Amino acid sequence: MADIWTYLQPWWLVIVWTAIVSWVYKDNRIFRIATVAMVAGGSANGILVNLDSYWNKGLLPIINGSKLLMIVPVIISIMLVAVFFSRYSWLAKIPTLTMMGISMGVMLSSVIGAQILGQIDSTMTVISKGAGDAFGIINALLIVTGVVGSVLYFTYSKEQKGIYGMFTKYGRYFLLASLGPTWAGELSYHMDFLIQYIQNIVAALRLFIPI
Amino acid sequence: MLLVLLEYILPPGPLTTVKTELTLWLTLIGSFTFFIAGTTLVLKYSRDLIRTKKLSSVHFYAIEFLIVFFSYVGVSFLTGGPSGKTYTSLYTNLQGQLTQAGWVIMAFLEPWAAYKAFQLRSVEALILAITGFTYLLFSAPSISAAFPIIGTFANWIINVPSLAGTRGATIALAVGTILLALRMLTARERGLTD
Amino acid sequence: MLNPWEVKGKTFLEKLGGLHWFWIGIILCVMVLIPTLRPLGLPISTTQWTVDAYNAIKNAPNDKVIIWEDQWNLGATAAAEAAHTAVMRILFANNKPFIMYGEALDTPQLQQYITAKVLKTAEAQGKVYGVDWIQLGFIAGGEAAIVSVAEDIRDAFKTDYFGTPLDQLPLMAKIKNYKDVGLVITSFGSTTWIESSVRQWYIKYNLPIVSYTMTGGATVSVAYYPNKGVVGIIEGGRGGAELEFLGKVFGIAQSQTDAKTLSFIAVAVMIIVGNISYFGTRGKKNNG
Repeated sequence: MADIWTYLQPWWLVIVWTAIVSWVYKDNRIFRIATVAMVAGGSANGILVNLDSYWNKGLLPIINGSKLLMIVPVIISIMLVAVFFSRYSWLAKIPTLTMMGISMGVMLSSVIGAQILGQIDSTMTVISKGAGDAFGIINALLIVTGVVGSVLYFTYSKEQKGIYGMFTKYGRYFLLASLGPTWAGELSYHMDFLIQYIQNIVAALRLFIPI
Repeated sequence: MLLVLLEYILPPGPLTTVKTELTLWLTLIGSFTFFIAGTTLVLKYSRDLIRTKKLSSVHFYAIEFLIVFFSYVGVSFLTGGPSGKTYTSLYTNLQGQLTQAGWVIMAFLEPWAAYKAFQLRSVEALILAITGFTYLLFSAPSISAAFPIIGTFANWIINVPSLAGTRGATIALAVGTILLALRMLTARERGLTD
Repeated sequence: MLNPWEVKGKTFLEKLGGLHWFWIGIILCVMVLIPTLRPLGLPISTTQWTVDAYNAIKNAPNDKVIIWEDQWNLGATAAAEAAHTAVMRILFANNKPFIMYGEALDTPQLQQYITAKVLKTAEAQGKVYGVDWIQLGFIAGGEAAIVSVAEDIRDAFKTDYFGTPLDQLPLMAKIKNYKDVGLVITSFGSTTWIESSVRQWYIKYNLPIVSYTMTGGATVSVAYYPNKGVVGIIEGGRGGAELEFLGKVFGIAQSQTDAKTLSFIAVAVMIIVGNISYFGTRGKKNNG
């Protein structure tokens, strides 16, 4: 069985990948069949993986008495089922808001340290670090003015015109400078899949042709 | 939210236990949302089939969804769960491959988008094109090994202009998040509660 | 949908700018095919942040455990395989005990796939599951899950991914909470998750983080590098190639690097061609 799969698997991969990639030529039924299978697999896995987790962390401690307190989150989570009944759908807001509240609390408690004070500190200390040479000073000034300009770009309480508009435009250039590498990174990320696809095809062909 | 925030400000104590427990509850409630998501899809496709009087090509996809969905569930229950070898093999060889193949489409579309959009019509397009172009060449380690100037320039882009833009966006995003949380605490943000 | 056989434009310059994505993709496929058939063995350059990441892993305290918080999913295997394999081989080679868990639904399947490959390598010889590494499975909750794991890992996970109670795994005796963690490797197939990791692992628990992000994610991670939480950055496929080179754990990254080099040169040429077409037709429109 394992030997047969060694020969079948490369072709299986080529067929499955080509079913999706065929879209780049033309939208077609095989592509739609493949995407529906993908959605079905994803949702099935979502349920199965969490079933284990929910049982072990939530239900088992209640059943064996080790942590009866878990009945509270179990009841809160069951309220989500109310989303299927329009008359009781308001109940589903309780677990949603519970999750939001805890998540926001967890995030907010350190967002000032990490994303505001930490970033301002790093921006200011770059001036002293860059004071060694002219290039360092220019870089430091670029960073400081770029940060200020970028932050100002996101303030919408004042119309961005005149000298203020020029400064926000300057900040926009720095934001674009960060978008360029992000685009390049995305392309590089997706290129990995194209490379894998070509390698799959070559591997399948190599079973029969010495290339 | 207040409990978690207070716990952060105060020295470690009883509130730390409360916070730890609350975060555990969140992971449990978060797990349950996946059941709801999966059930919603199953119900939607089942209703499509039950309510129809005459099957058409549209219902073909609903039947396919249900067959694939329950095949995964059946294999999992019959062969040792989602961590079992059979389920993992099925999932890796089917779902894993389908999901990866979707990204190949982006590998066709993104260069085409760059070919169309990276035209130097303005200062903004020029900055986007130069930084993107340089970082693209830098992303292949061999190009910067052959032409070290590309590596130097790419490092400068990441450590100076891109860093400034990212820092500015990070600070602005953080301030916006705090404001949103304050609006939620004072019941002025009605998006989710209404 | 656009017809790939239809080239828009009347003049040659206009047609040059009117190619369908299908043909551009075919050019890229040819560029990728060449090194797949005949490996080129092109050289690899390293970046300082990858060297720092490698050193951080190598020099992680031996009396503590490394936590590998993973958000890459199975659908990103082609992009994640090189660096995931390199990181695991380097951890094994340096005898660093680690615990990995997933925050995406099919991360455990990806981790199993990578582990199966790594166990066949020389670095993994003699390594025992439960002693040298543990795979804990999936946890929902995003940023709150980090807090749950950091405060009490036994509360966050009752068993490992395979259903074994944690008390039966010897490595779990070495770790109860964040105080027993020496380094956090946070890997994610996006660019912005590092902010959540820094907020929790670094700001709250003062733990150093190696950011293993998708390519292009260094733009966000670098805001916290080198002394605001992130001690090193592994950037996607490029980072994987560099790690293979630094750790001498050669794998699939070399072939990917060769293919990327040729295909990126082709993309760069396409951008130049697009601009030639744009300026050529714009010049004619201005004159005409």
